[in-house]
Amino acid sequence: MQIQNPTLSRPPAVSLRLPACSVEFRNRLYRAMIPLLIMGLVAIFVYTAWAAAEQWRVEHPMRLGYLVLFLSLSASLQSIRSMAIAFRRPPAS
Amino acid sequence: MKQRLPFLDTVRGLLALIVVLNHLLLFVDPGGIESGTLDILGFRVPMFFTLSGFVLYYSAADRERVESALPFWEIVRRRARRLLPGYYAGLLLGLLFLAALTYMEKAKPGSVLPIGLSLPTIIQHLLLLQSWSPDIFYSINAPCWMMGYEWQLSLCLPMFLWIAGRIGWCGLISLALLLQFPAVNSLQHGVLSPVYTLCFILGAAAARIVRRPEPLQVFGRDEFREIALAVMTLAGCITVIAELARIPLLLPVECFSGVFLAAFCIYVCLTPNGMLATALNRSVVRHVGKISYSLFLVHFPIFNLTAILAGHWHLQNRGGLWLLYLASMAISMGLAVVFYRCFEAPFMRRAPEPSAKRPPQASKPNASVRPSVASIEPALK
Repeated sequence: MQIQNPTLSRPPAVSLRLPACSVEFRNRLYRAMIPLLIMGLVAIFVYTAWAAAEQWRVEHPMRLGYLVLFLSLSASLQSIRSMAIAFRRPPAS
Repeated sequence: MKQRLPFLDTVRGLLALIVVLNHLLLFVDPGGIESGTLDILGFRVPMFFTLSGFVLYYSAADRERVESALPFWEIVRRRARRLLPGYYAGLLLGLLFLAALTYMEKAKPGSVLPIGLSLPTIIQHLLLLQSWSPDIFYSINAPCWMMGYEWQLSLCLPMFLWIAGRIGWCGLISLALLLQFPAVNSLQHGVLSPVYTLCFILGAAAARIVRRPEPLQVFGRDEFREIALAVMTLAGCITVIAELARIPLLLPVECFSGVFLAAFCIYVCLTPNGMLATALNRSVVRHVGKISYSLFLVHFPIFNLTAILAGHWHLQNRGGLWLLYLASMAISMGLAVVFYRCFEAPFMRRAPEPSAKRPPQASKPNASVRPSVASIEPALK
């Protein structure tokens, strides 16, 4: 009679790790999330700049308003330029 | 291969100078806190935690499977060597100052401890748990409160990396973002500060992007650098404008300063020959960065002493106060150099690696002398 090795009949160890996604899926996820992140930041930035300009228009002379406007314009242009550069190429295989 | 990053010293030096300047303003113009003009530099503290997360992951990233097998005790040993000697020396300096103050003000007879100090307070400071009791934060040496958070977050790094290994870095950052909401944060009973935890994790994530470049492969190095630049610009503008105008946002404003510094570190690391990196690497402030921790620890007791002297001399006019405090700042810098030499530099020297754990070097094909088995065996044990 053949004795079965007890280690062979042991159930496989349960891994807590989530199933690994494929490289393509991960790349797509990254490429979808980064624009979302930047767009979220742009939205928060526009809101902040608008609220600050509204506040300072009342409290301070217009110079601070100009500063906020300049910062808003430069940051928006910079982010648009960066987005354009970042997404001009197809994803690397 | 890991490179030394001199720009980190410059950033650390700048942040330390901002802290000292802020405290200087606090002493020269105590009414500034009430009027709110001093709080505009409040974004600086979370940046220290981002820097810590970045440096800790950056130095650990050479390991295989860093996200599942970072040994806890090694982290404890390294951080203890880096933080604790200076911390305890700074604490002692604060206690000496308080004892001198007690002596000068003729404390109650029979009182062993300095004014306003109790034994539990001192024990909490010794165990670096003062951050759990905000009412005793500043009681011995005010800036030491940050070291409690720093120590706790350093000890939590293996746990953070374990979570990142299980659910990914996006999952870890999402969890830290959830902590920002009071309902979720109350579940951990204030053990970890939500803002500082998020900033620490963001710093570690930035170092991961630099050292383990899978995200870079998705976009390409140049493209990712542009993304980092965009994030840095936007987060920096949000921080400055929201701090100045006190605009309430969905997240605390300090979180955006953490995002800014994380993106800044990525950008500078990916542009090693750029104008910004060159300017930061050659900056004079880099030398302040080396003594920044010591400066952080010694300046407050010196400023306290200066305040007592100013009161003793009945110094009222603003110019005289400025001169006195600038002199005390120079004294603080000098004392910080002494502190650095005594309590930092000796402990920062790298301990020799245990030779037994090194893999045996492959012998060159043209090596004329081959090592004997007897000479290899002890190294393999």
